[in-house]
Amino acid sequence: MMTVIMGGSGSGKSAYAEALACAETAVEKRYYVATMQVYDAEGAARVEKHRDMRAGKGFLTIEQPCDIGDICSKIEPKESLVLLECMSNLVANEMFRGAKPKAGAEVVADIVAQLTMLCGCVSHLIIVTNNVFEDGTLYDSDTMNYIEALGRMNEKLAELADEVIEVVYTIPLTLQRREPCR
Amino acid sequence: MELYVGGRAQGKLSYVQQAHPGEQMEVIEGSRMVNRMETEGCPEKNVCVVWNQFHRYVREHMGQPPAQREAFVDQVVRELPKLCIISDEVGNGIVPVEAEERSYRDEVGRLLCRLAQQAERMERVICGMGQRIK
Repeated sequence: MMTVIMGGSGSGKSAYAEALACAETAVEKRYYVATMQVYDAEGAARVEKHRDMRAGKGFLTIEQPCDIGDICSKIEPKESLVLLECMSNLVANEMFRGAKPKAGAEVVADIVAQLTMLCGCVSHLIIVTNNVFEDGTLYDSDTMNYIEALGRMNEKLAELADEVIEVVYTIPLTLQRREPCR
Repeated sequence: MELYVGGRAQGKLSYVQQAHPGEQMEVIEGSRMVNRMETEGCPEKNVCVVWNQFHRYVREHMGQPPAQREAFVDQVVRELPKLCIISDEVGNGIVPVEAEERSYRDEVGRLLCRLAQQAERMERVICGMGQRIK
């Protein structure tokens, strides 16, 4: 089962995703996979805020800024739930990890392959992704390529997911729901 | 309280006005609400107050501690029984490079999340059309 949660900055998408993960009582373990890399005090504060939000909810945290497929070997796969937060960081981290930015199509294909593998070894995968597409600003080419890659990534996620939910200031809107085939 | 959100220039104010036909309305823009609350007292019970450009109030009060903004917004919601709040959606873009811009976006989001929880009705407006989401 795969659920995609999307929303803008400050939409309450994280809180919603966490509540959804906690409501899943059938699983034995809940993992929180953090993709954000911490560079400065603000980043550290953001991580701290999210940690506080999750405190006491029984999540095991794994920091995984790149190579998301590696998660499979770090978890006990039986009856587990993985909450991946968030795709916008993962795409950026993969794209800009080398000396030269990777092509968007390559990044997307690579992440999709790893996600498919991950999805196969957990009972519920929840992916948080971001709406970065509506500010109408023209950025430098690296950023434009990144926006394009995340857009394609989100399309792929919707294709793979059983459920896609947009969160608008805490209000969940179902964009897609399919009967899970697993 | 009713909450209306949507992108810039989507016809949110006209939509709200059309959604309340025959009602007496008072439109207050952004930070003007501060003055309105301090000096002019409560409007007549049957007047619907529209707090337009809510995001501008947030931007112009980013110098305050968050609790102060929160208290003011709560006061407005409490004291104005017929209230429509309109805000631009500002969170659907690339994370800004400037720290102040980042915290502004986060704060608009945080306050709108609180308002959405309290709202009796919430709509998203696009192309002048409303999509009721609560």
